[in-house]
Amino acid sequence: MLEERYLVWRFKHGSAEAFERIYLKHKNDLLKLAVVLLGDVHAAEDIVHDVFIHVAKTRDSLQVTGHLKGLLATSVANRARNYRRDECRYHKSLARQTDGEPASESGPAQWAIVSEQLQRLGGAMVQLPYEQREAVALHLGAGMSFPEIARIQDTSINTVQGRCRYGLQKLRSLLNSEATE
Amino acid sequence: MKTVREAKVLFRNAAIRTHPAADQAVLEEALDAGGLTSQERPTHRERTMWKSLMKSRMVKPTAAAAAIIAAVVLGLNIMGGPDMATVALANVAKKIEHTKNCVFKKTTTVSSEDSVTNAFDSLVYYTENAVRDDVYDNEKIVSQVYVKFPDGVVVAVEHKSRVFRKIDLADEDIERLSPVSPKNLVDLILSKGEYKKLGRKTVDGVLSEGFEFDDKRAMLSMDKDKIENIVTRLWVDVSTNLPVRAEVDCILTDNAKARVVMYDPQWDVELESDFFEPKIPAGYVEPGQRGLIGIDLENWPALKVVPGMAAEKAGVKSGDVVLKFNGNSISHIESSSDALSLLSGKVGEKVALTVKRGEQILTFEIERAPAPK
Repeated sequence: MLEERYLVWRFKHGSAEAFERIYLKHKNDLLKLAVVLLGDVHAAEDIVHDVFIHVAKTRDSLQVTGHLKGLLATSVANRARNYRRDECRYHKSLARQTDGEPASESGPAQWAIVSEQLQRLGGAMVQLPYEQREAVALHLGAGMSFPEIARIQDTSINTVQGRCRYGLQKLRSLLNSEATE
Repeated sequence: MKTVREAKVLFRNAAIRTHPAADQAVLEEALDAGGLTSQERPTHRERTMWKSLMKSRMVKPTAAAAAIIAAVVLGLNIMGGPDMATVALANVAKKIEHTKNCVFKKTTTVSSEDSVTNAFDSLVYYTENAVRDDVYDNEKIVSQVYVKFPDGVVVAVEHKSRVFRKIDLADEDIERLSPVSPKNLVDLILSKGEYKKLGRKTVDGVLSEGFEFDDKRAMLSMDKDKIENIVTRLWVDVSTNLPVRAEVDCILTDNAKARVVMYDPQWDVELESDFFEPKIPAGYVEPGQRGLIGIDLENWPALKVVPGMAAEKAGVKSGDVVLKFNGNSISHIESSSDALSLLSGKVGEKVALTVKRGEQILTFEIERAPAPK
């Protein structure tokens, strides 16, 4: 609590050590969040990488009114949404231009090592509609409240609660059916 | 997976880890991007260098010698240099005098005879002319004290009840009400002239030299007659001659105990020019202007009315459950302290409270009344 506030404050005043501690504390949770949002480890790595670079670059204007974790999770969620939008656009244009030939991979060297359980969870999560997936991931994975998620999704609290409820029902059925197969 | 709780556990247990080398690469890139190349980094470099040298095929004595040579080349201070000499408190005082400010964390714990313990954390920003003490609870600032020594003014802001007080004080009161700081403690030891040396040990990761003394003035805000016994320990970084930690332990005449720990100080921090100007948010009132509607919030959002107060007079009953306040949903207000902050306001202001009573939805207009004396 106070520790984190103080870390942020020191980071804003130029402390590399404070940034390092923030990075070490949050990187795994953010990677996990990005993995369940996108179901793609390389994309998740890129996004979390970008978030930390952005936070470091904009430390002067960084405003943390609540939990830092919430702010970082919001940043990951926004980037994940942009990534999906760009991916859709990219794939559409690629399909038009290259008859669907796969692009060469030039992603970063592997950063995240995903457990089998997370792979299974990520695999089930990507089958949920994106808004439901995001609501479930932010609520259960990032510990965000419904009003906080409502602000991110620019919708009402009731809608977020509904998305979480339906998302969880579907997730439950997906995971339980996997378990019984 | 059957319940939300199980789903939370599933998320928590779905593990991810990272390659240390990639971690370091991402971190370095972010640090470079942010222009974060502070003086704190050499510590990390020193640690990494030491580790990599010890891991090499060289025999240990050779590796250690190589580490020292490398440290000299890189300008690292691993031998200690002048700090091998004993810390002199006069030098510590002089060193503090040359700093423009100090920001440190403070934890205050008070335990009563029946073992009820209250603890609170604060961040204290200390300069020669002004002090700001921000008290935190669960990451939120719950109260603040601003002291401006030249003006003789203390401003206290209580965020839960949205009340502020401004107090003009005589010099002795200013001293009594100002937060204790590492600087105060060094001055106290020097003025008393008697202390016990505690020798050297690593405190908060820093090689330090300790001093112990007893002086009731170390507990500035406490009534001196109530102090039975007091011990203060000050730990000073042997390389910088600046305090790293101070602990004040106090036994009171009623067998209660108080402990103040100041730690993790940062010196010469850049602070905005108006940092010590009291910031009183809009809507905050002085205690005399604070109005109440007269409800007990312990079981929020269920209410208990205070007999004879405005809410009861307007028709609110105990057991009513709040739905809206001034037309706005209160579903995001989860704790009674947040509710208190929402409901607080000026005497004479009218508020609209919408409640559920059985199947009925009722709205009451209530005028805030002065707090009972």
